[in-house]
Amino acid sequence: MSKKIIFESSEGESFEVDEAVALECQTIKNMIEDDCTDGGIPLANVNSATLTKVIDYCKKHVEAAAAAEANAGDKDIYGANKDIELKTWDEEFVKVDQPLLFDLMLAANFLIIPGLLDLTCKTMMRGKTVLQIREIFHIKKDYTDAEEAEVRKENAWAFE
Amino acid sequence: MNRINGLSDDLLVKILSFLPTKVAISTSILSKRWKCVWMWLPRLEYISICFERESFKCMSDYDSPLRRFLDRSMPLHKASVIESFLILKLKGNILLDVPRMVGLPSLKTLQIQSVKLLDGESFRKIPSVCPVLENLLVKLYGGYVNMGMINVSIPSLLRLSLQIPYDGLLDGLVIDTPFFEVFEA
Repeated sequence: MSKKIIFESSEGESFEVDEAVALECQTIKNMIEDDCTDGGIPLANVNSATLTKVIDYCKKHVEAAAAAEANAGDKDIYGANKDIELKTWDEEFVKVDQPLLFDLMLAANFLIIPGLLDLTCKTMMRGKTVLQIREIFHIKKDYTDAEEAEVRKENAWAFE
Repeated sequence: MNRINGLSDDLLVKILSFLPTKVAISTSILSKRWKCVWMWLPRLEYISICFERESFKCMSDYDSPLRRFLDRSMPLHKASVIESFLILKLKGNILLDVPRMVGLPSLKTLQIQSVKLLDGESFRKIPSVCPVLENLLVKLYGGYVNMGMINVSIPSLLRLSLQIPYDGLLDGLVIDTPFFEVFEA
């Protein structure tokens, strides 16, 4: 039996995971190394829905890494397929609504999960125009018309 | 709800780093906060597609949007100060006039493909424009245009890839780089 780590979401819900899964989070890894994980790790800024997804992501990547290690040296087509399979899984994983994607990014940033941070950042504005970005993220224009015209002129190449 | 305003600049830059350069730069009109975020991007791709007849205009005409943009953004670019990694790729039938380009003090990788150098002499000016250049890939333009004497004398250079097409014409080639590791021809 591998060691278990208990996370506690912002709602106070407990999540028990294998240590190997928790180790995917650099922040937690440091805590485990410092031996301060007894009695659970409260994550006051991560809600249950987000934490469930984060654990899913870490589990999948631990399994994928273990499978890749088992196949190490065996550089056949299956190894390549596994890579593609994981990428496909990642793509499906981030097909969530904007608020959850945002929560996942913040959690990945806080827990330091580089793969998940890259994945969520990459997805955040992908394929969007600047107008869509303004709308989706509710960014208010605080330029005067003259100031905006000046920025447009300076960066005219980007608006071609 | 404006959660994005609560993010650190680091995270915003990370998000922008996955966007095409033009889109990333266009976020400068979102708000004052966003005006300078893109300037921290470690990697920018200036892609300008134009027809051959107009190609000279793209890079050298002072009124062309790309030219004006490069003149302004390169000296202002903040990442070049904190991050010494910068790549410039030029592709297409571009007439390159090196001395008139802006200085690129932290450029380490320069890729020039299908570019008509005005003459072989342009190579001579690269060190003064890009003093720390390490990787240089040049695919010369064919079409029986004589490049004259090509003199690659770039003290900082570690890797050079020089592709000369079958219909490219040269008077000669001199390579003088003290710390050279890889040469592909």
